[in-house]
Amino acid sequence: MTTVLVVDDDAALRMLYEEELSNEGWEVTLAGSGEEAVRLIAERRPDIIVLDIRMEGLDGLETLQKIMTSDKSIPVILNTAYSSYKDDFRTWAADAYIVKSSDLSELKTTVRKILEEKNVT
Amino acid sequence: MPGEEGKPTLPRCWEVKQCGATECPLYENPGVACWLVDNTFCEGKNRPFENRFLMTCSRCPVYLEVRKRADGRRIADKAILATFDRMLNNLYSYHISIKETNRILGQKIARLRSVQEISEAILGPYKLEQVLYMVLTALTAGEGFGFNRAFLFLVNNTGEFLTGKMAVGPCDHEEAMRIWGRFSKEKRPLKELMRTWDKTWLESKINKTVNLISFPLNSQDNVLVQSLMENRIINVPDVSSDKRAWPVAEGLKTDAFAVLPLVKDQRRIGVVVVDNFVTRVPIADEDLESIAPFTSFAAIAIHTAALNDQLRSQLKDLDKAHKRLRSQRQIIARSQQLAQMGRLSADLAHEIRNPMTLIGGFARLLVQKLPATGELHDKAQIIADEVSRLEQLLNDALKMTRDETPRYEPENINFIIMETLNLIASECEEKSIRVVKNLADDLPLMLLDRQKLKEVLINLLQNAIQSMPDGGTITVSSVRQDGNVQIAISDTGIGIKESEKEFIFNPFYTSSPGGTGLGLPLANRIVEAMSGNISMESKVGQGSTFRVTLPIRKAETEKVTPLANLPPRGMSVV
Repeated sequence: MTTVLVVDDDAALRMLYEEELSNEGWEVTLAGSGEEAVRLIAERRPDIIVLDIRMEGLDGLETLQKIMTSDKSIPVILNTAYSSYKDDFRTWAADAYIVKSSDLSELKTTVRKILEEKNVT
Repeated sequence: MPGEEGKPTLPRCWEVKQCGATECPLYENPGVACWLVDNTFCEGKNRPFENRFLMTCSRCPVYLEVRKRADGRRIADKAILATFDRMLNNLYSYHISIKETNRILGQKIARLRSVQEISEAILGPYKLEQVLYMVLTALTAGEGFGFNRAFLFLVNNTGEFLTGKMAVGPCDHEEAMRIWGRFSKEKRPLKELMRTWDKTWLESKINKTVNLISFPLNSQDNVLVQSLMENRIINVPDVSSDKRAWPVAEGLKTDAFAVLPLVKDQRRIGVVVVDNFVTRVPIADEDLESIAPFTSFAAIAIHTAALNDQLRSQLKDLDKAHKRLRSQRQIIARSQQLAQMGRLSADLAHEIRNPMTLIGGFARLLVQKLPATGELHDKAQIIADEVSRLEQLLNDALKMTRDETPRYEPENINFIIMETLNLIASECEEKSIRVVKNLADDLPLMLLDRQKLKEVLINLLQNAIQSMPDGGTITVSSVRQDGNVQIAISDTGIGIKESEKEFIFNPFYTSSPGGTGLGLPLANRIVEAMSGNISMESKVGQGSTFRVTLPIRKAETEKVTPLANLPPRGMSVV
């Protein structure tokens, strides 16, 4: 089963993503911080990561950097409330940049598209 | 007459003159020639001998008596006496002429002094009109040069005409009597008279007359032009005998006048015309000569005042510019404040996005989970829809506050149009909207911000779609026009009411229930940042056409693409 790691410091949002993405038939793993995400990636190696940027401690961009240096093959979707991070060149390392919205269809479509491209089903 | 003791004596002067001055050293002293004695009681007793003898004693009966007695003795004596007499007479006439010359010199000095005084009076921080008035007053006042009237002509700005500027004096005999009567009663000093400048004077009849007179500077047969060009005073005692004076005489209604040039350092400033139109006193050449120093001073004063006037108006302009600058600085400060507020609200908007995602997200979940027929389902749907609307508003508002500086790359507009149309293709199909493309095939590559132009087109297309809830046709065309490319997007929708047309580019103004009111203003802002413009035509019930005109800017050289514009690795920015 395809596993999606959702990294967000907002517990309620994690809940929403868990429910929505599970409905798509994916196994959802949750991380509340960058540090937890790094640990979980090493332990379980998810198929795709949905990563919030603004977080306490290790933020999304720093986490992304750690992921890139350890395992480049896992696709990362940056998912943030801020559209302005797009100008930060570090975000270009990610596979997609999505501005948070109550309508998660865009996120789901992007996850599906990337997974298809990487031939993960 | 023989003396008492046989010696010849001189006449007894005290008796001849019957002066009765018994204290005089000559009294009862007949043996002395009285004119040789100092300190007599006669007229001019304190003067030195030469002077006293010449002016007084040589004409005194005492001397004449002695002279008579001396006459006729010998030829030699006679000859010497005659010579002496002639020399005396010559001396006397010399003396008289020297005295007269002195008197004239004194007068001239006084005149010069008054000219100097008047001249100094007109130098000062006066306006041009004031100076002109002072010059003319000095020429006409009794205490000044005393002409009946004076007219001032100045060379105009283009240097083509000699134009009447101002006049001082009466316009007829009656007025002359009235004015002069008043002046002689008031007896005001000249300097004070010169300062009685009043703008209403320009409205007087004589001024209006002179203002209408103008002579071209290239006319050969005009006495004013001649005086100015040759820089010399011209006296015209009889107009009828001088053809060159006719135009002036006719304009000023005078039959004798004089022209004085106003020239400073080769710079021809104008002329002054004076006449004695009421008193008919002939103008003497010597009088004119004595005015010459004054007119050259007047030329300087007029020139300076004109420069001053110019300077003053330039100062005024400068002051205005300074004020404008200051107000603009305030505007800039204000817009900086606004920008600051914009950044604040952008931060705020981002902070709002998280909770909104939550509210809307869970509402959507509820919509999925609840039975579609239930009341709760509909309520959850409402929450989800409203949150979507708020999110759209937030996105548009954030775009408004974003930096709209375009980033240019060489692009083909038609490709951008096609790309944009692909984005809305499914939506159009859903709403039974037909899309017609009419794209020119001769468009050049031009520098454009692809992303921004797409945003503009999407906004305009969304606008068109919203105006056709029951379907219709969107026609998109591109055409090259001189140095521009024009994109036109037409719809067959509801159109825009005349009363709404002026507001459609205002932020937050919207006529459709789904719109945020930010699409068109955003499009407008982007196009303006690209040095283009958007225009609109619309008829209610027939549809609207939006035209985007963009200047063709070509890449000058093959540029290295800035790093910031490189697309990221396989990333699809949504």
